[in-house]
Amino acid sequence: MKDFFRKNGIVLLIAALVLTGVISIGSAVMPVNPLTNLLGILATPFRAAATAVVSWGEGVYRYATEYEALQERVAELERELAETEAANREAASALEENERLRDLLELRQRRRDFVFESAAVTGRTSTSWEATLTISKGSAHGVAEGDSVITETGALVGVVDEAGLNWSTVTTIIDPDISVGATVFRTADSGILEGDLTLMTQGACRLSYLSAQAELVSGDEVLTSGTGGLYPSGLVIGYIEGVYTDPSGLEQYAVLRPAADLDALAQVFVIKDFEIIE
Amino acid sequence: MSRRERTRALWISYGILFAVVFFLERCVCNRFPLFGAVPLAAPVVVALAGSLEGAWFGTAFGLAAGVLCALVYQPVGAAMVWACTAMGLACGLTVNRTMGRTFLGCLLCALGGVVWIEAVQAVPRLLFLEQDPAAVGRIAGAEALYSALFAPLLYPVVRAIHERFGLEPDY
Repeated sequence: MKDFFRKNGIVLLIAALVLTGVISIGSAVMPVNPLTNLLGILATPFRAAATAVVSWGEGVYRYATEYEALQERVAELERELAETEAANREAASALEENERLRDLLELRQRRRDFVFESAAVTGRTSTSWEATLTISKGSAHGVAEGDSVITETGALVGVVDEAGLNWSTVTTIIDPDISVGATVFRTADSGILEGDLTLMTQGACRLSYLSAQAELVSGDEVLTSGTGGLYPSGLVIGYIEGVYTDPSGLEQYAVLRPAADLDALAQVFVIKDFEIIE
Repeated sequence: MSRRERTRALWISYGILFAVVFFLERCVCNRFPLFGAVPLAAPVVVALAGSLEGAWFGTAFGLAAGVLCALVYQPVGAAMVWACTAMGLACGLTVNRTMGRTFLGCLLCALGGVVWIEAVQAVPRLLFLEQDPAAVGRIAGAEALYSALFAPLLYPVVRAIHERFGLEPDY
């Protein structure tokens, strides 16, 4: 060491003095010391790399220590989202129901004699031989066999065939077993609404026993006649699609398209009581 | 596993399969009619089970399934009890005595079972309800075809149950 300083001492001293001078002068005349600046420039990529590594490490540490908290937070947010979605669905459903009830109110004002029971459609036909619906109200709610079932606009859906305690089966107007007295609104011609196996698969039904002189056209509205007092009068059954002559040639029959969209029903109304209008 | 445990597991497995198929048939398939017909997949399970497990099991399973079907398939409900029982018995006897428990044998038995069930539903409609024979034939045919489609789909499941818990046919 002694030899080193003996040989290089002067050079080191001069270098130290030069550097001190440069630093002092640089600091005095320039905003950033040139050496400090050089050091900073050289250190920048290393600093960036170090920061990245540390950040990654920090992330790993956080992941390890805060994972459970994050999971809980995610679960909480998912719960909140589900609740919000459920609330939205309920709101949409309430809006739809509100719409239906407004229509029903209109019908109720027209037919004050009707006593209604609102019911949800809970099931549909499961065989190819019938067209029935299962609804959510039964004898516990005053629903009885033979009660008419309508939509909120007063379109006939069918007739209660079987009433359980809290469920009922409704035979729809396209079922082959249905038989309801009907009248054509425009011409006042009378007939019997009957189901037909072939027409059932097409979502239609048949108006039979029409007089051979009846002058019906496509689009004529068909209503319940109320004859016999079994079903209320004036309920819309459907619209005539075509008129045909019976094979006997003595009568006509018409194919009807139901006014109620039987495939899309979600809520129906059972008429538990009504006044018989002769 | 003892024979008693195997028998119990067998009944539980077929019970679950029947319940699942019945649910699908009642709540899902009826929303997708084909040519106006919806399938009867539940009786296919009875036919396949009878084919693989033998006549005795087929008869008992058919009886149990028939009671459930009778409550649902109106208006020929009561006839379904006998129809399913007879189908289970016939499938067991036919497969084990003539065709062997092969895929083809089971498939043919299931097809026969489906046709039999359709006949049981159609004949009373023709005789007592006087419905149009052409319409009845068309619906029965469409329903039989639609139902038969379930046989190859259900066969691997029934076969798996049979291989896991099945008993040698004791007809």
